[in-house]
Amino acid sequence: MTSASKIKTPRISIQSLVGLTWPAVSLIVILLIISLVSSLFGTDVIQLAVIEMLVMVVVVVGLYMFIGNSGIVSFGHIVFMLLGAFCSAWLTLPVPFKHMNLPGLPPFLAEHQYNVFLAAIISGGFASVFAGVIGIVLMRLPGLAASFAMFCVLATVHIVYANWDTVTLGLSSVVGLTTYVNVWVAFGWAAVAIAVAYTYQSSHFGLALRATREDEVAAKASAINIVRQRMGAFVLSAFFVGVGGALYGHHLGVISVGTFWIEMTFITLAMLIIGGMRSLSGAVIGTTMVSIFVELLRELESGINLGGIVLTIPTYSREFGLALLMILILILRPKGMMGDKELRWPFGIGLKRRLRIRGREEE
Amino acid sequence: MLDVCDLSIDYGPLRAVREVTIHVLASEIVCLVGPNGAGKSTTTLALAGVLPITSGYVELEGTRLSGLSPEEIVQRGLSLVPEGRHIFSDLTVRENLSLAAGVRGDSKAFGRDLEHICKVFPFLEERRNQRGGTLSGGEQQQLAIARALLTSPRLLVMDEPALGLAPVVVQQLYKVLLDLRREGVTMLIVEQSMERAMQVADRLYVMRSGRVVLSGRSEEISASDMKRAYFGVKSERGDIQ
Amino acid sequence: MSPIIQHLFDAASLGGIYALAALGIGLIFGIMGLINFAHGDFFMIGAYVIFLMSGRPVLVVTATTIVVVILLALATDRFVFRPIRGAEGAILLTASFGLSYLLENIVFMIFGGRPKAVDFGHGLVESVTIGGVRISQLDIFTIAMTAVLLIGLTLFLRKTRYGTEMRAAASDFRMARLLGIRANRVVATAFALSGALAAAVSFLLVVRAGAVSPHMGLMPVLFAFLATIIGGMGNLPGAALGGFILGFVSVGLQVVLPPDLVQYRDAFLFALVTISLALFPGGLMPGRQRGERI
Repeated sequence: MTSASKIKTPRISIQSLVGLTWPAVSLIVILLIISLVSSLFGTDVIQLAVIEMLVMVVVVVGLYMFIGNSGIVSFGHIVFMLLGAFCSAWLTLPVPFKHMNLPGLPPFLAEHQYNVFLAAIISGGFASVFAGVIGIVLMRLPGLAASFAMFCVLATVHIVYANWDTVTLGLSSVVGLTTYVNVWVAFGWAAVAIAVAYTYQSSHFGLALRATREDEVAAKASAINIVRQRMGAFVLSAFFVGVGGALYGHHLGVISVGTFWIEMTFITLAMLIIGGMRSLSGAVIGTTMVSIFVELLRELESGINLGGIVLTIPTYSREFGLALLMILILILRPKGMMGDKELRWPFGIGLKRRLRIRGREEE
Repeated sequence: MLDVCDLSIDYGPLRAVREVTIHVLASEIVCLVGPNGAGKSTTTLALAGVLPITSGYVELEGTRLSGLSPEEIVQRGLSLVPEGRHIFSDLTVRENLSLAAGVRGDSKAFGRDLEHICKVFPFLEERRNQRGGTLSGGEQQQLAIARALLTSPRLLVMDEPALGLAPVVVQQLYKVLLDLRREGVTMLIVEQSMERAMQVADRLYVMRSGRVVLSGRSEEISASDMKRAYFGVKSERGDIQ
Repeated sequence: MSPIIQHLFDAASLGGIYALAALGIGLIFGIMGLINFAHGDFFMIGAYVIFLMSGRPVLVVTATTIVVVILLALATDRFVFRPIRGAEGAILLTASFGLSYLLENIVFMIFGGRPKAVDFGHGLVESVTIGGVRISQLDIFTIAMTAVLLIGLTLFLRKTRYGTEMRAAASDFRMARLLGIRANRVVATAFALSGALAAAVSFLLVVRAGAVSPHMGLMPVLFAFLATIIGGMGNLPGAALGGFILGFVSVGLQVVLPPDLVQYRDAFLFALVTISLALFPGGLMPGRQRGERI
């Protein structure tokens, strides 16, 4: 109570800069290490698994940008992945292929083949625009209604795409996508997604949105425009989920409408929930953990050789195992592995700073 | 009859109730008085098993209640009429009352009690097929009390029964409560108004900021004592006690 | 005239299925605030039980299916939902989503993903001519069964003690407990009823489709949700009405859409519901609903 009039502006030291950005930097460093190790020492199978994991990081971080900050569990966010994947496919597939198999495409798509990086950006943008349009309606709904309405949107687009076979080949697979997504492309996008997510959540906008998550009434009373803040997060997250969809397609080289439906919704949600819905670290760590878990089970399903004994588990154990894991986490540790917390700078801050902060707290 | 010993209740990091000790003897009315935020409602909710107790215990005639679920506590004889009436508005008056029968094993005894309650609150019989939501505020409060009484409690706890009711209605309500006391019903009533509490209670506990700051028989406590305890008084040191 | 009557029966029959499905969802939601995504898998597992028992006498098949689905519903309450009771709606919904995924994959593991033909109640698919109009026996059967179950459920809720307790719990769960009503019993009763309704729906689905597959419950349960939302969440008569509305709109779209758009019928349906949600976030039925209020 004594020195309220003398509020000192803190000087930005190296230490505080590191402390501030540590959560994002640490995650990026972890992914960097994984990428390096896998590309130097990993088998083909492992390298592919790591690329897929990094692509999923883009998607799940995108998911988190909206779900984590707004508190609305959007059950249809994969619609952006669907839109992004096909958008990139339409832009980058060779023209002869498009002529033969996708006659329904308009000329500006059918007659041209665009650069893959540009296509990724456009795909993200396409998803964002779609988000902007439906968001006008959806962001006004209360939480649970919005969750469910998102799923209705996914279902609608799914049905439309599944039937519009002159443009999507219906439920058949679209092959021939350029597999330009190597581990460094994937890592690059993952790092960007993490950086953007962290910047957003630390910014005024992110904080405002998080306030609405805790207490809508109080937020409204603080002149926070809930709809506008939600829209911002929604459009931003749609961009990254859309890009993730494009990356996914160009990683596998093959996409179909069915790829981006219930299973994908489930896996991405599981990754986010298991890691912890409310923190960026949770999103990334959850994705990593689930990817490892699923990969292990995948190996077991094909049978691994332990000194002569072959260990196998039945097919679909992967999905079963993941579902079981997710339910257990929800029961035992509903906040996920990370709880609400981000990764902290492990070496603590200096003693003098600690004392000063404590002094300020006691006033 | 009721022994609440060193009860503490936390809401996360916040201690809402601090080492509160309350005793209620048979057939008396005890009032828990205090300003908003004193922890009175929190205490009653903990007594009823709705909120978890951090430390301390609650015993009703020797039976430990702390740690039991609300249903089990009602079965052991403590019924709470929570703040705000909480009538099931889509159910009729009769259906509201009949819900209490679930706790009672003996349907004949329930029937007898029902008749008796209808004499105490005559409007219940008239309006028995009316939807609960259509009753007036005072009638709803009385329905809530009647319903709780039908669980045949040994101790009836009421949280601010007068809240939101017109003064005339409140007078009538408290007259009924005094009648009930004469019949032997034991009551713990949370009350925000000092005057009403002093009128109706045998003994009082005054709570502030989660603690009991004053207790005693109502005749022995002066109005100024009450005011000081209720609002808090500055001592020579300049801080609030 | 006659095609219109046929369409009406069609719509009423489809609406009946959606209404029963919606009631199953609504019962649980009203009490616990849980939108049970796994409800569709109750249909699916009931259908697989019928598949496993095809060839046996109808009564045996019926009884077994009902028992299995009710037991399944009770088990999911006891082991999955009771531990997380009281959690926020999003967590509950996600858990039910996980449960649904779990159940579907168990079925995948045991039976594989291919649809399997089932011969059950095939006689019902034939038509009957009444007053010059050809009506499918299945439609009549569905409508009759829906009516019986609706009446039965209403009687249970209004006239029995358990039913009154359930209505009280749906209205104010905490207050019900403060009157000594046992929470676990009320919730278990709701799940049991929900399971019974799901078993009925699985019969109807199997007869209509003539086959079973692991994902068969998905579309029906989505429509059931839509129906509950249209009717206003937590509002049982609304859920039933929502189911019928959905049935009529669905058949209406089927009839009205031009041939090259008919395949998108469900997409239109979803879009329509999303729009009506946007206009009436509380559902189309007036009245008190469970949900976020200031």
